Amino acid sequence: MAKVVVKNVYKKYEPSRGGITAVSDFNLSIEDKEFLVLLGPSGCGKTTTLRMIAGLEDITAGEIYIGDKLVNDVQPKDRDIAMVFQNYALYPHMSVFDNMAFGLKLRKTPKDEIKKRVHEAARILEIEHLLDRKPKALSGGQRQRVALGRAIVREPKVFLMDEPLSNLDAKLRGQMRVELTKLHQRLQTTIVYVTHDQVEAMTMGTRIVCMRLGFIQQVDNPQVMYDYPANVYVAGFIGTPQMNFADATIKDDGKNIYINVGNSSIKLPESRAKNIIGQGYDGKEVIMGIRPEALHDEQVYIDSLPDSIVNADVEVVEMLGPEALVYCVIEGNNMITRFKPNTKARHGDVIKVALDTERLHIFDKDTEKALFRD
Amino acid sequence: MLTPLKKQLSKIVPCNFGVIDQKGNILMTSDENIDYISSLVNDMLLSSVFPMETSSYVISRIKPYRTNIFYFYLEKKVKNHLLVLQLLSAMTENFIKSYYDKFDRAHFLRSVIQQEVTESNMKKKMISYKITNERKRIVLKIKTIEKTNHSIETILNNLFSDHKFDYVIELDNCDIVYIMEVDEDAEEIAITAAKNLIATIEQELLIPVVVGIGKLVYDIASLADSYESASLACEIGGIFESEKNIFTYSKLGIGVFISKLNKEELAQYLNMIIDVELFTKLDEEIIRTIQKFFENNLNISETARKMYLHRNTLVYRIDKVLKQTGLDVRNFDDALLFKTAYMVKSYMEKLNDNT
Repeated sequence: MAKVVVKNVYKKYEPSRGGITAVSDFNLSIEDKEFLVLLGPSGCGKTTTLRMIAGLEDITAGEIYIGDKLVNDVQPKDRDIAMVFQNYALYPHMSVFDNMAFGLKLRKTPKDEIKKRVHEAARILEIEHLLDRKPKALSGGQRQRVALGRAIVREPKVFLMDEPLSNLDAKLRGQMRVELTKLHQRLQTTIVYVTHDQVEAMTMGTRIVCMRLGFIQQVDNPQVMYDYPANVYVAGFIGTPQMNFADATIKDDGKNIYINVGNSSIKLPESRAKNIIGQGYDGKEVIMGIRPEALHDEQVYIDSLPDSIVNADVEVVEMLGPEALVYCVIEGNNMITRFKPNTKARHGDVIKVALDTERLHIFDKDTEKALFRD
Repeated sequence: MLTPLKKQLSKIVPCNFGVIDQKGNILMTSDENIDYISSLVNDMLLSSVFPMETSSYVISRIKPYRTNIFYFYLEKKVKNHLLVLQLLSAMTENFIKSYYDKFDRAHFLRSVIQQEVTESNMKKKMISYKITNERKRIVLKIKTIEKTNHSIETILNNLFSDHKFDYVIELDNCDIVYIMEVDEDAEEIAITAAKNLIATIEQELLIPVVVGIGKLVYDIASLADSYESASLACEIGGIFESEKNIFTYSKLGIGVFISKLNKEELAQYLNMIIDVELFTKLDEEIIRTIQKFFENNLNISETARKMYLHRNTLVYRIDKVLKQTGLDVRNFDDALLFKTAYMVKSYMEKLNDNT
């Protein structure tokens, strides 16, 4: 168990790669026993960051500490870490026991110690009954657990996982998310987990680091990141369906602050308005963001939110059982709403929709940063 | 060498057994107390009559090859011990033979890829090692920066143990060659194998490795060609795509030609196609955007989606390149010029760094 501290770390590739900076000024303190998720699309620098912590990738500048030890010049095998990858493969002719023990044998660990560690890891992973089986007699989920077992037997201070669930089908991925969360609770150790899948990040992470083009965009716990995204990028990346965006203008009439979208004028509540008053946004263009579940078609909302009603042209209604996704056009902007399944909205209807202004997001048009985050 | 055999036999033989070589070394034993066995060795080596019997053991002589002799001993605590001895000796002989065959084959294939075998000798050896000449094969070169004391070879042999016609050859401690027999979708299979072996080596040994995937070849003699192309893939790929760890020869493209030009020729070509000074002024964000644009086959919507950029932001950046360099990368010809110029410039910088 250990804390991991990454200080001002840069990764710049060689000039032959145009000197592209894969990771810029990365600063993060990962707490002991934390499940930290590095999240972002391909090329954002998340895997490079993980590999730099592992020592599999050189760092161009900065410092990395595992525990209290500066590990910049420490070989990966001496960093007390274990890695789990997406492309795991098991040794086909070996039993589960031997698959888990193989790495320890290569490191000349004594036999008794190997036996103890493999049995302990198998107990944690609940695969003790499978120890004599060969990989071909295992299900996908069981194989994945064996791959995790290989890392657990190392008894590392930190687990580094690079998209370990990406090769699994959707159903198994869902199951393994739960298994990994339980595993983290049982192991009580630090896990740094890389994924491009925001659902994985939201469901497993104690904190998420959202990255883009080598830069950290936001570090927060999942709910805060969902409710208070720092910028347009994070707002769009977190959440499925993603947040709706529309170009808008701020209007300050001296008493109230309004946000104008097309021909609709929406009055901002006090809690939102206070962050805008006196900030020089009157008359300025901004980006408005609203999550699908913050748009309502029920009469009770229409009645209680008279200052934030807009018309919506319904294009498609997707009935999903517990909810209905309604694709519509609001003031010229394509938007998705998440209504209750008993919605009366149908293709071709023009319906009234109430915006929950307490959950409205406003971003600066130039910097794309959120105007309020509390 | 005999550990897998010992495991197998331990499950079916209810008494002690083992194997000793012609120098008297105990290669395998199921008995914890080897003192008594050691005392048998001299009698065993001097005996000319086999099976040989002592009060507690029966011993047979195994000759998998003319030059190598091994002895198999069995405790007489089993019914029909002479018959059991004969059966176990035959199993052991076959096991040792197949092990050495594989070892010698690897030695032969190492000579083939290093072009150290004459054509006539090659044919003879192929017959003697029962290697089929005409098969689709592909060479993977695995490079590491660190000496691993055969660990990578051990990992690969175990990882691909169900690929009976594949070979792992250690060239030196940092370069390993994996010869794969493939059917359809050769390159795809090779890439999957490369991904798996990288993940396994990095997980087990925590050392970074890169893999070069060579040409698909159709006979043994051409393995040298596949090996050479795999080496080239590592070398050239490492220059132009240093953030990757799998390099495929067939995807090297114009990088191969660029790497064959000297500094003067490169400079001449660069000046011919572009204003170098303006090109150098392009910032990192623009370069990264254009690279993504190329990776997505000049598709604006797809690039914007993958980069989480607004389409207009992407168009703005592409227009900036046009303004700054005169190249409209939305057109194929200009995109090709941009890509070539960028690669030449990068390669020149690499050469300058090395000098």
